[in-house]
Amino acid sequence: MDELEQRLTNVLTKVSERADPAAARLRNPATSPRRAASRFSVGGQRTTWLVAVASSVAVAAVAVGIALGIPQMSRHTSPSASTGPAVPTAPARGTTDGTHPLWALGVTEKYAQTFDQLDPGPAVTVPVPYTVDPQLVPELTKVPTLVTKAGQITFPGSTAVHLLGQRDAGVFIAVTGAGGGDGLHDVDFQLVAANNTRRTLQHAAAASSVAVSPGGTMLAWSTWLGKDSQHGEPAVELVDVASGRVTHRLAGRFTQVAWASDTALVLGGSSAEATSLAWRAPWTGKGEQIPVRAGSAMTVAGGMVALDDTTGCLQKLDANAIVTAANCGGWSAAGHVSPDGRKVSLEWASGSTKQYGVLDLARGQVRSWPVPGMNPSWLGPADVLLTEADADDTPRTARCDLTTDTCVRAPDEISEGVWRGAAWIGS
Amino acid sequence: MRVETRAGVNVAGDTPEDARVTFTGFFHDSGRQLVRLAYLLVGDLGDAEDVAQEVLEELYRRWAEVRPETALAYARTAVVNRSRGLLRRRAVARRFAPRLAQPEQAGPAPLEDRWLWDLVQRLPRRQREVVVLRYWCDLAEADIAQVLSISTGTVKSSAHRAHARLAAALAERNGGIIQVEKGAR
Repeated sequence: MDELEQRLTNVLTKVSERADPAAARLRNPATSPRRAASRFSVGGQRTTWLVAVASSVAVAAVAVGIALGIPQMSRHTSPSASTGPAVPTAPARGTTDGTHPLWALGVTEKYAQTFDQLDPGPAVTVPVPYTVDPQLVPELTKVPTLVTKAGQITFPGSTAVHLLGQRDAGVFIAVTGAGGGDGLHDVDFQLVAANNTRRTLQHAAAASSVAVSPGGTMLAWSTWLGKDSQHGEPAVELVDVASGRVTHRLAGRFTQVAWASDTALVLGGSSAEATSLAWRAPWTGKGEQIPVRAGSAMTVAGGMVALDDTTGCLQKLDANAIVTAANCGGWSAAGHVSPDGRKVSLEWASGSTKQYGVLDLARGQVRSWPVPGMNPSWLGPADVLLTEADADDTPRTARCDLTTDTCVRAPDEISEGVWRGAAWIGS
Repeated sequence: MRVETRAGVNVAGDTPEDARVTFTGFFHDSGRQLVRLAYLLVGDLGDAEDVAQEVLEELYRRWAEVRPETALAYARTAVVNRSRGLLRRRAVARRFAPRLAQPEQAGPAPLEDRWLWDLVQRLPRRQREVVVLRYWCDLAEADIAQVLSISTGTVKSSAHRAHARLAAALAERNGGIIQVEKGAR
């Protein structure tokens, strides 16, 4: 066995051992009834999390805390906002890499931003904030560094600094203290103002899938509630940026969050079972489970849209996450909202083939892309760059100007625009 | 493989209670291994748990039809197939909906060869399956071919491509010195 094979065997063995906590939760079908969403059960009870969250999420969260004896629950629910430079977290070894959930946020932002430099290749123009990973560019710095227009901030003793999003209030970052694993550990969520002063918003022992609301007034992340993250129950936490308080704690796994002016729509469920549940979480007050069937949801101009991929209906939701209209065009997937929040990319079936295009939410019209299987990347409200999703080696690209309704496919083919009606039923 | 059943007793003479006992033995012996295999293929603890649980439930329903000596191979194949379906659905979701990633359970410790695991995760699906079955399950090429329902030749070529890709990355990390033994795959 050569060096590579030896190292492969070792790394696969070590990675596989991480699945042991999940293996411990397996139920023997021969001795127990069919499992009912056991990962969502609260405090080891067989009653599912639906019951726990349906009546009152806040009450359920407290109950979970009491049942599990979670020390960090009280810490999370108390205000932790502070002013001035943040204190770096404890030193620990770790890595940052392009597969981390946080990095993926870079491409889900509505506006193109430069996020962490995953390789030292392309130059970054200040003042766009960016971070420097010491492991990738060791000659430049020995500690994680955030570069802003006001200068550099270094984080000695921390593993990494992650850019979460840039809003009017400043740059949201996550500073991690402990390395290893697939999520963030020992995380300080901070807000960096224009003059590089920092405020710690919250601390979490473990978090992943962090999202910043479009207005920068709320954060959401996934965490695990329990004495340690190895055996805890999954939960979603929503944090009010102004007060630094955890305003909602929703039991269950977190798949997506969409934001309206004063409400968050949180989707949870099991991707393996293709199930989904929705909570309405107003900025203030209690969260509640709402009867919205949705596999995915997006923030758009004036509210949110949610796709029920079982019926193929795109639903329009108002600021209170109430469905006001539906567009049932047999859509199988939706996403990639234009920067102005007025267009959403779509996938649908036409016979045995898949079609890809964009829906103009206001006009109620859908336009198919010139080349199948394109991934849209918005360059402006009506300017979109398409890259073939499934190409292996040399993906084709095209660029569409939706103002003139023309698409140019590399190298020089021009596709005429084809809009067709996609009516909304409702307001 | 199929064993006809009659009135709850199969031709091997197993009563439902016997089946429960033998399945429980299999569950204890192999359940963890199936979750680990699923995790290596899908890279998410929750999904791995789902995949393994569903496979075990399906296997229990068909336990009377499965020979105990082939049960593990059957379960491995089911895990691979369900993982494929899950990855396919996940790819569609990633392509068209800006979903946030599923929360991952915290890892116990930093991984020494994290870069290598990252590379394995980025291998094409079939190459990754072959690598996991070869280097973690320690299966022979013929067994891998059976689990993946492909020819032995395809297993060999997939393993060769994966090995070449990973060896190149290792050589790059070692400063351009390829330390793969002569004649190795």
